[in-house]
Amino acid sequence: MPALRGVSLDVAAGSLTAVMGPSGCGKSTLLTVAGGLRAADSGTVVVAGVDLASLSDSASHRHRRRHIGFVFQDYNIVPTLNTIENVMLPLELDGRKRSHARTEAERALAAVGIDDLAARHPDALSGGQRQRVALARAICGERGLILADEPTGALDSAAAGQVLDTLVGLVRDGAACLVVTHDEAVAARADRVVRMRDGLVIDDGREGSSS
Amino acid sequence: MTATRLLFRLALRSLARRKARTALLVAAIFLPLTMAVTASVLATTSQPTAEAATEQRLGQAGALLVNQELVGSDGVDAALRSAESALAESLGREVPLVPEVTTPLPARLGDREVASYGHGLDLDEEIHQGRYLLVEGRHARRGGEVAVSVEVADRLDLAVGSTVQLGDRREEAIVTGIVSDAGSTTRSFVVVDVATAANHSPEATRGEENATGSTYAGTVAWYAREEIVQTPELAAAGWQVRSRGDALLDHGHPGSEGAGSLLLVIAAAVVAETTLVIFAVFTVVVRSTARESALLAAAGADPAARRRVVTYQGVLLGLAATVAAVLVGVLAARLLSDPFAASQGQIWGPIRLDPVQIGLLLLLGLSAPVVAARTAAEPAARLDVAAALHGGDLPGSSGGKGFRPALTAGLVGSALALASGAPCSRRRRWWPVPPCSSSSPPAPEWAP
Repeated sequence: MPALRGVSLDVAAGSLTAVMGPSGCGKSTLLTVAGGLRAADSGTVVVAGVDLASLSDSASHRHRRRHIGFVFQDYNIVPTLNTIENVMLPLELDGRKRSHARTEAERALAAVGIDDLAARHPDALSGGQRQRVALARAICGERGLILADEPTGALDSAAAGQVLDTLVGLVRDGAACLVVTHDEAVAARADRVVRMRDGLVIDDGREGSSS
Repeated sequence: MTATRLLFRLALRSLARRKARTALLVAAIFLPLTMAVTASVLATTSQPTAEAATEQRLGQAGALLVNQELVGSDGVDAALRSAESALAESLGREVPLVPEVTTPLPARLGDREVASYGHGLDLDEEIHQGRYLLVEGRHARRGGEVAVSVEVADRLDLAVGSTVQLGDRREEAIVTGIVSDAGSTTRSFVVVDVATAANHSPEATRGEENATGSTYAGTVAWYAREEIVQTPELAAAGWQVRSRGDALLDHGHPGSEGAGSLLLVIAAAVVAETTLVIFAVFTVVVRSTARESALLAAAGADPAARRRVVTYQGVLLGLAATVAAVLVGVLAARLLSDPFAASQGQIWGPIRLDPVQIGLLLLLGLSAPVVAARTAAEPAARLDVAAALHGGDLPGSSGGKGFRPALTAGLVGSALALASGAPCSRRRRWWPVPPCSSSSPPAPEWAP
């Protein structure tokens, strides 16, 4: 059975969309398809005006580096790189000059409020700080789409609150964010809550759209 | 370029993060390679250069001439007197010659006797410089004086100033010096003046009989400062000529080439085995860092970049191991050179490197971890990113694939080794191996 069936969803810039549903309903699959990590069997995924299916492999990777940022529940940080190097990662992979990447990374770290942790090694960061590093990496450069999979799932409530505040702040600054979550607190702060079951969107969060 | 630097940094940090594993992998390449480098340097050093071997044979002479017919018909004494005019007759011009008479000349002290050859020549002549090493004292300059080889001195307990009896007539001579032959420090010989050697030559070579019998019995060789080449006229008059140029060109020794090939084949086999180990380790590493690879993919790293992170680890391992192996291997060869030379009864001189052999060893040492890492990195490139991010397994990487890099390394290494050791006559012009010039020349039958 397909993991996703007839899903149609748009995520606008400056909005936080939460996707909720029971385990195995296809939430994470939706996220990976939206981010181009997994190809859809049919249908289209358009990010920043470009149909991902129309791109070659290399163009697809380049598009992801430039427009899409991921935040996962845990293991978000490359353990051999320090904080700022982790944030610089997509830009360096994209061949940008190191000095330019550093400047952008410093700006992103400042945006998530951890610019004082730039030189710190991942081992010396708390769970909440790591998630904020991941958020900084997700917005570093000109990237406008944040795809987050249970970003607060492994955090205590205080740290989860901080991360959520940061995420909402980034959205208010213009980022588009699609968050897969079980956390009602996240849903409460979302502009829109999409509910899924068995690969189907049963409620796309728009008024009167429940199906 | 920025991306390449990043990938190298990731590779370096990954190696640094797992220090024990990295050290083991470096050691796995370093140890066999160091031994191979040491053996290669010792083998190369043990073979005199064309120049050194020619100098041992010819000194500073431009040509070495022998005329057994002249010696056989006239005898040593007469041949010594008539050689220059006989040569001028065949050559059409006069050429000054410096003679050397070689004859069996046993050395005795009391009831102890050493069967040795006597070389009658004036080693103070500039033309003979480089032929023998003067270990102690001075060369023999007149009758009643003798310089003995290290072996003779050792066996008869002689020192400078000792008296020794020479030849069947037991003529007494004072030891003026101890000399050595760099090609064989265990050779028994004595150096006397020309007249003394001529006097001790067998009767057969002193004019009474025509046949010379032994090659070495009463042989006379003449050294000319200028280079003379063999001509039909010279050959017709019984002259055999070995010019310096010919001596340098003929400087080949098949045995040393074969030894070099064998060494490289063994090194290739060991490195191939090492490749298997490295492949196995990297396979485990790639599996254990699958989520890291997936994270890189999510950040936009394409499959080639993910593969390169692992491959660069192989490059760095190979570089570290090969550089260290060459440094330590050369140092070890330097330390072992003298003891090994002594055990062979030779004096080798400064250590020398065969750039082709060392280059091939470097190539083997570097390519083994690169090939192993590159092959093991394939699952990281074919990673199902979404599955890996959720803890899924990597695409299959069967252990059987380790055979491929090992076999490749072994075959390539062996082929290169065999090619490098191919006989000179079979070498193509494009093959980057210098002419056979790193081994000692076979002694000519007629030469002393």
